[in-house]
Amino acid sequence: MNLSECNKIQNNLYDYLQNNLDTTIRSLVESHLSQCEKCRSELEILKKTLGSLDQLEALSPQPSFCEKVLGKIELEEQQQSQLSRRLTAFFDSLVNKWAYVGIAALLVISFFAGKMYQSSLAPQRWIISQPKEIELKKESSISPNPIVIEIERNKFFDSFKQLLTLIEAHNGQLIRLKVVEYGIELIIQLDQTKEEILFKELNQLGRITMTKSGYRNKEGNIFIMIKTQ
Amino acid sequence: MKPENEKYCQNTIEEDEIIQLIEKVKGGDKEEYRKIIFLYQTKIFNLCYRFLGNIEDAEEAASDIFVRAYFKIHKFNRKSKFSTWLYRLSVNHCINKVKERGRKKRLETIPFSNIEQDEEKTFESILSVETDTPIDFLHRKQIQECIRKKISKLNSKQRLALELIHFQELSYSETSKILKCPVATIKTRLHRAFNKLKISLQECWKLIKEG
Repeated sequence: MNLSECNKIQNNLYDYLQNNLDTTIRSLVESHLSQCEKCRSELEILKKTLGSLDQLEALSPQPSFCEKVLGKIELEEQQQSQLSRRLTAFFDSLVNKWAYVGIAALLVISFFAGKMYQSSLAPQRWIISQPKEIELKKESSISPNPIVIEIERNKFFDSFKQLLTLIEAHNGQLIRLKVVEYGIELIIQLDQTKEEILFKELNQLGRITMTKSGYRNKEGNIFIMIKTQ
Repeated sequence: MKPENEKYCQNTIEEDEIIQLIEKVKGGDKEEYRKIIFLYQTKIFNLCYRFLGNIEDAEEAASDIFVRAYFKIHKFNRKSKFSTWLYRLSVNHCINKVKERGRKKRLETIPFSNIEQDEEKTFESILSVETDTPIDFLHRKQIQECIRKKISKLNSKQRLALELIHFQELSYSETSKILKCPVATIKTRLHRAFNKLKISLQECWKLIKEG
């Protein structure tokens, strides 16, 4: 018997025993088996192997399993609503801050508008200069190399909530949180063994940029910066 | 257990009914989620057990999977069967658990002491089974432990193919969706798994003969 034919047949032996083959392939396998002793012996060994696997009994979880799951869900819901309350309060305070900034801006604009109106009364030509580009800080103030998570503007709030949940889920602790013009900076404490998993999960939030090790300080705390794309 | 929940334990409901349950859960009906748990708890628990190697870890992982599924259920968009979605979640969770404990605890070290916890058999209950003497019971457990060890020595890709196709009795196409790889690859992994097992299981077959 040709070796490659035997390989093809042996690849199908499991499905043959489980009755998963269509009639054409099944009859091909049967015809091959009737002529090939090697494949017949493979079939017997496979039967024995499957027989051994069948000896493994299926176990049942404890009768209280369902209640345990529902209890965990209840607990998590409570924690999430607490977190959401804290975040809402935090963002409310931010809104208040921005309201002050807005009022200040209106005052400044009305002052200059008044000036312009006064000047317009005088016969004078206006020279409009190019506005200076507003320069945002490109580096973080907490570390030169934080882990930067760039998030779509409309998902920012949800992703930030998710980030806090992830940190909490890995028993991480929030050491410092600072709102800056380009986003939010965080310093967290996290067990080094949880680091890899957390970083993988961070990838689901948005685009991640990080250096090999510069995101930790001397105390081992991790710097994260979350900002809009 | 309430009698109306029994059919969920016996797994005798259609995909349409599962979808209806899910829609109710999405609408905030937690009681309906109980039925989904009953429907899949044994399968997911056994998957975790064969993956993680001990009952405590398996129960913890299985409960975490159902909690995660509850909070993510709004993301289930019916592009696949619910079971496919749940298995994918379970497989990813188990892989992460294994990586997490990684070097701390090797998979193959399923302690012999688990035999006592296993199914919570007391000495009296062992004696009460007429066809199974305590010696037979221990011997059977010893063989099962040997087989589990051999399975745990397969690489994770082969183990997953074996778990989903053979133990969970899923189709190749469903397994291919869960593991996100072609059917031919799954078949090859399964074939390699059996090739390895037929050699490694010889040790267990000796135990059977001794019995």
